Amino acid sequence: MASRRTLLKVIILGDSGVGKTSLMAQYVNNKFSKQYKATIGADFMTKEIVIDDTVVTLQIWDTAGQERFQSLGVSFYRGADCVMCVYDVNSAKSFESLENWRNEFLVQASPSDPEKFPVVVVGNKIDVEDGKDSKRVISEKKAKSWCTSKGGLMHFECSAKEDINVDAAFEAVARFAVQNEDAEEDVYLPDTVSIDTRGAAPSSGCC
Amino acid sequence: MQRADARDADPARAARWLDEAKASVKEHAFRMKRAADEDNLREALKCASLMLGELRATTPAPRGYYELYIAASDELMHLRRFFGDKSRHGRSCVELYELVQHAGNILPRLYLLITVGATYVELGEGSARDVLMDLVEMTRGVQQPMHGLFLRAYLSQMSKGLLPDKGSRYEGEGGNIDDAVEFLLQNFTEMNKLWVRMQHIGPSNGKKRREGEREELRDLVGKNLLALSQLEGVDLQLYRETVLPRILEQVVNCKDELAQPYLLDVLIQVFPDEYHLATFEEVFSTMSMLRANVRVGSILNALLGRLLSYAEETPEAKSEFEAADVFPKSFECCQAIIGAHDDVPAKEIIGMYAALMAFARKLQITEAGTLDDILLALANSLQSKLPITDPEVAQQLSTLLSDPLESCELSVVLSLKSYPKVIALLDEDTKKKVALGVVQTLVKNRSTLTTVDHVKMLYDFIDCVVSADAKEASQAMEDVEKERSAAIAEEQNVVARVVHLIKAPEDNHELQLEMLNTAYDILLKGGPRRIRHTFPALVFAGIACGRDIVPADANNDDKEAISFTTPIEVKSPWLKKSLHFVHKSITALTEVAGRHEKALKLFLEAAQLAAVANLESIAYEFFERAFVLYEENITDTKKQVNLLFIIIGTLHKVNVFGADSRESLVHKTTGYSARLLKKPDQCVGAYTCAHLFWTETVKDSDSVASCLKKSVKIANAVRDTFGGNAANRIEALGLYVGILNKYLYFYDKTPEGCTSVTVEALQALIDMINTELSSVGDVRNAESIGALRDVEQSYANTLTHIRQQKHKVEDGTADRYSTLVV
Repeated sequence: MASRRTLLKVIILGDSGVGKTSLMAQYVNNKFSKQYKATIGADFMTKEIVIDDTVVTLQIWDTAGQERFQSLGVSFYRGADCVMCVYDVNSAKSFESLENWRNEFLVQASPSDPEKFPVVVVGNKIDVEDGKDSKRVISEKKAKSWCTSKGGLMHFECSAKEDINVDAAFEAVARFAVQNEDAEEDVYLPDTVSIDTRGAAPSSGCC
Repeated sequence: MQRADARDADPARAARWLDEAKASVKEHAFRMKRAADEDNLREALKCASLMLGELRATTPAPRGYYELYIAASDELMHLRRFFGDKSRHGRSCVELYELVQHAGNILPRLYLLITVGATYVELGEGSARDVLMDLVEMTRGVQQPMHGLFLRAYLSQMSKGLLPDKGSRYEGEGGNIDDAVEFLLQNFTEMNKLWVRMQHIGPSNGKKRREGEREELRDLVGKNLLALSQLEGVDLQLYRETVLPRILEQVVNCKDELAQPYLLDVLIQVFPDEYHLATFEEVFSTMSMLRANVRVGSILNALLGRLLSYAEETPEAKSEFEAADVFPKSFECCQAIIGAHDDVPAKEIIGMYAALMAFARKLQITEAGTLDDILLALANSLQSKLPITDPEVAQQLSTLLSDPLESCELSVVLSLKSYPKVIALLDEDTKKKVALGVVQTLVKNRSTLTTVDHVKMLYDFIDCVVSADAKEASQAMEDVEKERSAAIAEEQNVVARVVHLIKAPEDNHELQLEMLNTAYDILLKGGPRRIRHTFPALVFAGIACGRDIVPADANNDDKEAISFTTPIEVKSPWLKKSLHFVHKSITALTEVAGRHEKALKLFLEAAQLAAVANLESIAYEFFERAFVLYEENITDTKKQVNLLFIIIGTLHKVNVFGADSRESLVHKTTGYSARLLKKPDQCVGAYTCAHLFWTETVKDSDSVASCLKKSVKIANAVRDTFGGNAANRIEALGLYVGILNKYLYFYDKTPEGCTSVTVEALQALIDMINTELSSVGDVRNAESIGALRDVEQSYANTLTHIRQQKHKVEDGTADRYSTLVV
């Protein structure tokens, strides 16, 4: 029986078309569609899993890869416990963008220790290489060595379409996030003497 | 202390407001969670309500409000979990639903209602349809646009996964897909109305700021379309019959310049390609109903882009597209849009036609007719945008023009009558860039021009870089030169490469020459500044044609085997014609463009070709022409020396002349040598001329010896200049060593009969060098020291060579050198 409950916030980032939405949909709903649908703004889905003794509610934020569909900015990055950076193993450009995505995230989310902030790198669409028109351009080795050079980021290769490694990647994300949770918890400490410093607080009574 | 104002002009104070509001959210959230942990429902609701009260602020900018919203809605997740655990608060959802309605303020109340409502549906206590429809109705109560937009965004977020979608566990009693669609469409419509109305609220001078804020808020509205596209149950039929018409209706009716293009963009991006293929006509016709200022071009581009990506990923696309008449209808739509809006920017126009071209290519509609139609329409559409000066647009146009070059046969491209018309739209500089781009693409693709018409048409395509323009004619030559000689050189070198694309099939030399002559006529019109760069290419092409004929005629594939010793009799009449062509081209190069030095070299080059084919009089003519140029036009001493060596080299090589002709040419050459300005040059000239008397066929040992003797005499004169100072002596020494080497060269020809170069003469020269070396005396000047060291080194090398010769016994060399004392 789980003894603790916790809510974790995970952000999925990456270029347009790498399969962020597909990974989330596969993980949360076990569904996959090959149709491309752009994501507008940011939206989350939740999934409960048990990690060791803890019931973890993962709040997974799927984001728009296209900047023009991010009109409200990225303030939802704040308070994230882990970030998943996705690229398409068949697109060199999407791999090269990882650096930018990670940096942008660290700048905007300003976690307490950016160097140690948990980032999981996911190479999606590995199913394509098994097909007849193999076109993989980012080898696992290349990706791993990049991850090592960035301070040992965790790396997974997945296929949202074939459901390969998707659960493993998200579980790693969740474990990572649990470890990091305390670091990012912005604990509210009530003053011993409560002084209302504000003029007129909304006085909407309840019940 | 007063709280800061969120809309303070001072960003620092606005930020402080936000921090304070977030701190307040956090404080109430803390109490709310503590109350929840203690299973104190009333207290939790009270705190949640206070927390949500912060969202009643009307002043913050959208991004600030969004941040606050995120903070608050994150906290509501905890409350939702508490609601979901009935064992902790002991209330049914209906009771909860009733309970939260007591919150005094509408905004917190509705956030709480939605949160409970989600739990209500999730736990299966209420029907999804009823609860959601109830909520979407109730949220009408909030009419402050930003509050309403975020509240409804929260509703949309919470309802995710709870909709009675096809295959969902809420389907059935909770309603069906139609209810899910209705719920989302209603929410969308209401949000769009709030968003559109936002512009009218507030003082009129804040309009611009409000537009900016609306831009920021747009994704909240757009997300509804995404939610619709994510419904499993929205199949093509439902999309076409319900979803799309309702969205388009809202798009058209809102009459809003911001909303119309944005919503269509979202629609195009969130629904699948195949839906667009099935409904593109509806979207096309909507485009003509939008506000006049809406940039329809970019919308059409986006849609065409989706259709194109479908075509690229779907094998059966060709037949589907043909069946749906995508191409002709898109073409029609482009023209209609451009016709209806005067202000479609050139960039968008080109974008549309580029998409059409890409379609045509993808669907393999590459007949010249179609491409011509597209380009012609493009040319017409851009007529009102002239001149095109934006470099980005010009680049776009140039890319578009290179597309057919990449994808079609050159002959197809060259038959496009519209092509030059499109080029003509550009300003002069861009036109040139495009024209050069065309040539570069052809060169890159190794395309060849195989008919006279092709040659004409290609030059017609790139006319702007081929013909002299009117402006040029009126300008003084020198001014023009100064202005842009480097630019024109670069440009014309590219133009010149067209000549090398001319390649008649199957060694048809007649055709090859006809095409070259066509090029000649056209390039001649370019005037001197172009001819100087383009004509060398013509000459080389003419020579290449001739070289091609010679071995072909001799039935010998090995072109390397062409020999000067035994000229071949060539029967093909086209060789003479090639040479004639070469002659006329070089003549133009010197007479029109004044490139005498280059022309001289080319005449010599041509003379060799004539010589190989045993065409004595032609070869002679070429030499004569080279000589005339030398005499009349080459005045620079260094160039004279350089060219003289080339003349000697060529004359030495060719073996076509009868004795008289040859003597006359050699006589002139030695004369040039003697007339060189500087004595040291004369000296080198003299001993180099010695070669003219010792060739494969000419063996005149006396003349060789006399040339060498003459060079010694000149060197003596150099030595004695200015009373023989150290510098002159060293210079003379250098010449002596040079002469010595030449002596050795000819001494080695003794077995072939070069008997006039004797060992005595050699010995005398060596002795003299030794004497000179010992008497140079004290050299102080650093330059002279260096020069002397070089001479000594080169002399030492020569002596080493002689010593080695003394050891070559096998062929009698050692004998010949035995008496030589070094």
